[in-house]
Amino acid sequence: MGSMTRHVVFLLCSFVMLASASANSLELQAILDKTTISAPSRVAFREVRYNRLLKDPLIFSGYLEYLQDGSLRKVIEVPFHEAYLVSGDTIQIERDGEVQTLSLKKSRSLRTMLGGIEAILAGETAQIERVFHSELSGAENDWTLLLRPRSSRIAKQLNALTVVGNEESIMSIRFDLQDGEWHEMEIRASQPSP
Amino acid sequence: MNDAGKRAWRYSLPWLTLTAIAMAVLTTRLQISFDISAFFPRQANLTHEVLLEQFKNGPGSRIMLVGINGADRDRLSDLSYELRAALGKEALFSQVLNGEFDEDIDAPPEPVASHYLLMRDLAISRDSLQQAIDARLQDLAFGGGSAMLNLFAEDPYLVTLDVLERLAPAEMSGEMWFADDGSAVLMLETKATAVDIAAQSQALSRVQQAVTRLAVDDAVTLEITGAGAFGVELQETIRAEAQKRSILASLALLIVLYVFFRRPRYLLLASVPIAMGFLFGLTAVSLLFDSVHGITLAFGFTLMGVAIDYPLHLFSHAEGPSGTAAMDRIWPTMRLGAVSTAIAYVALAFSGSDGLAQLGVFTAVGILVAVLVTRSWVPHLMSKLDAPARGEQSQSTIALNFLPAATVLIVALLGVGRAVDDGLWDDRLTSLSPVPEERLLQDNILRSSTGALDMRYQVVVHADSLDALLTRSEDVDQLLQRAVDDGLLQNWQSLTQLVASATTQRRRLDAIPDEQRLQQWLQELLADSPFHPDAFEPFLANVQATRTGPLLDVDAVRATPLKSWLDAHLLQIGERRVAMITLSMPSAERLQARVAEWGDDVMWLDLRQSSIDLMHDYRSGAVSTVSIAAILILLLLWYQRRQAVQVVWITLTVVSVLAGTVAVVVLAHGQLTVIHLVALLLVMGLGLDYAIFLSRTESDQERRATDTAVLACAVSTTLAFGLLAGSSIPVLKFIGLTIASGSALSYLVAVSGSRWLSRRV
Repeated sequence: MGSMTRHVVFLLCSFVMLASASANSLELQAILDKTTISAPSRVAFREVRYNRLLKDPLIFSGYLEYLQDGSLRKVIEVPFHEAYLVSGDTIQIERDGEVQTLSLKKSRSLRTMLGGIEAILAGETAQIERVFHSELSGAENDWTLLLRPRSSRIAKQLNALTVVGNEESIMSIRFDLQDGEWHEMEIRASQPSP
Repeated sequence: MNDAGKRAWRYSLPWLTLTAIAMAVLTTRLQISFDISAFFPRQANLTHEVLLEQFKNGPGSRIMLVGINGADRDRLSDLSYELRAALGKEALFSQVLNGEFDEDIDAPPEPVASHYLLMRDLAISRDSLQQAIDARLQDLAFGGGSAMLNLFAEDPYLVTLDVLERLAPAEMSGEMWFADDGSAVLMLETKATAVDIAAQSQALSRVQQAVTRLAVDDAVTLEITGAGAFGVELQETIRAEAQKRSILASLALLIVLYVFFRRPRYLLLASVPIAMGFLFGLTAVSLLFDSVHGITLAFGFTLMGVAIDYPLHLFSHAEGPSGTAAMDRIWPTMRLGAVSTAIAYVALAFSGSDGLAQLGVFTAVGILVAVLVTRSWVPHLMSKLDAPARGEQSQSTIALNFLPAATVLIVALLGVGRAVDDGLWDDRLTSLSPVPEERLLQDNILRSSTGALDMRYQVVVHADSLDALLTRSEDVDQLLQRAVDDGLLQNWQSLTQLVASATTQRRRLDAIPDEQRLQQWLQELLADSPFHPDAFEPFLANVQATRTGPLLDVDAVRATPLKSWLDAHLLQIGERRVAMITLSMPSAERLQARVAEWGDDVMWLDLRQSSIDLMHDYRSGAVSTVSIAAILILLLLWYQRRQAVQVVWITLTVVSVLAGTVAVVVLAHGQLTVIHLVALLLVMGLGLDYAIFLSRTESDQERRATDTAVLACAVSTTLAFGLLAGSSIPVLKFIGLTIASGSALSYLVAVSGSRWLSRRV
């Protein structure tokens, strides 16, 4: 089911927020140099999603986890329970007690995007630049990184990706899709993994 | 104009007139085809008809595989993606796949998008609607994007996804295809069948152009395989090969002629019967058949091997007397040889395939015309005029020696017996294919990377009307579902998954609640949900359109992108409508046993086994027609010669030569194919010709002429076909080796039995 799997990318992007970044200067490299992820860690999130089929935005909350073995987990707690576990090349979706496994290698734009996200995590600006046009603005304690996909293929789905942060961490990440659809995830609080 | 000139003209005129007529016929009628299936047998059996239909028009015949190599994997992935995008826009292709999901598709294809409610049983109720809406809401927490939103609005139950999943041609994992040799692989489905060479050729050049354009900076290699691509190559190679090798062979013949006769004029004269034989053979074929196959043309070449013998006999015997006088003497012998050979080829015309029938007609007519031209025209064109015939010389008979033939026969039989492990005949349909082995191997490498549905096993359902077929297929669907439940099969694809029977469609229609009720449910359910009140308007519109519109029928599907899918799963053979059910991962033996119990109108089809059976029947048919021809030839021999010893010697010589040739061919090519059989017919003709000439009762002077003639015939034929044996096209290679070795053996056996180891009486 391609339409489902290719949106795995949006989920993955949300893990970017696990990176606690300090923005001492408005150099992309400088921001990302401070971006480190150490497992295990866990942050709470609140996600708002809107699209043309909805009269009101959907609001979800839960937590994101970076596990010791390097896999990433997103758990929605409200308004229903659902969990995604990204590990290696697969993603497991747990819904109503049933687990479905999908391959992450299924789509080319997904792979390209993953490359971009991995680059953000790893602080490889050159790699980020290969996937996105980036634009950094604001001040150290309130910066905004605007990323626009270079590939027209990805651009068909994703208009822009906006990362907002302060000198300590990433505050929010927003995906602007086509047709006025958007997803915005705010990081609530950082907490050590239980 | 002198007398000789006038006479030459008088005898030439009828032939020239006939030539003009033949040319006129050819200009208006001649159509060349390269459809290899012409060489497949005609059969009445439904399994065989289905099999041949699959070869000609089946889904496999429309598949073209493209392999790109010569750059690193990243670059190849880019090229694969770009090529898919570029070719996807071409109207020539109905599908372009590279293993990845198509992310640019915004909507499911018709007729699925608008008729999905008629394709599955769906219980629409307030409860099920509630569940579907909740599930889609949950999906929105995960996914997004325009295509997905459209799908939700049109089809909240996601029936379309289920339908489309069942229709997919290959097990699509979503990962780009790479072959074991590192090539990026694309699978193209052409709209035209493989038989349509012009369209296939166009498709091929589109692919080549696109790759050249996209890979302008890379030194990539491009490999294109598949039935259609092979057809195009075949056309090109047959043309090139036939041209090259016929020029070479003609040169060889000219040299032989010159060495033997030292008269430039003879070179020209010898070509007259050959050219006339070719011309009239071709005319006969184009009058009797819709189109002339490329391979028949290539066979024009083999005709040359026999037809050249007639003028050679004439020239050697005309060294002393005039052409006409010499002709009178050798005519009975020459006529016997020609008629016997023609009988063998006429038999081929009844062997059961259009291709072989063409070869038979072409060669039989060609031989008869060549011998008639040699008899009635060529002598008058020879420079020497009625020189007075020399006084009658005493004639002598040869005490023929049976030892050489008997020895060759025994050695050959022993050799064949030892060399053949898997039977004498290779009955695989593919062995007839003129496609070189390495191209087939390449095709296999590319194909296996795509995980295409295995087409080897299929279930065939047939009925005398479409309605009956659909109803019956639905029964079979239930039986197959049970087989899936029992673990005999992973999945299957059947016509009814797209177009159900009218009864089933009506039942599904009746199960849909009326619009008002549906609208009311939606209103209530959406009131307290985050969904827009009219979010599912498109679904309501679809329901309404389905309720008021006509049922989905086969003709309607023919006007949609799923036409080729339909054509692959629904055939018409004679009056029968046939549904082809493709199977994925069947436990062949167990499922076959089960299908056998499902009734006479449901058949298990194993493409490989059936094609072997088919070729087997075909070949034994050809062998028996040829055997009948052999008996006719023997009778003819007896009628002409009336000398038991001579007839037995001639027969033994020919039989031993055939056995010896089979031994040589089996040693070189492993097994025999129908093509070898055809070539062996020609060897029989040559063997007969040499044996009847060498066993003639004649004067010493004539005998010297005969010796020269037979030697010239054998050298020229062996040389010409030896050149053909080097061809890259299996068919030509098979013919070349068979005839070259057959001709050489014929000479050695016949000469040693009638000259070296014999004496005159």
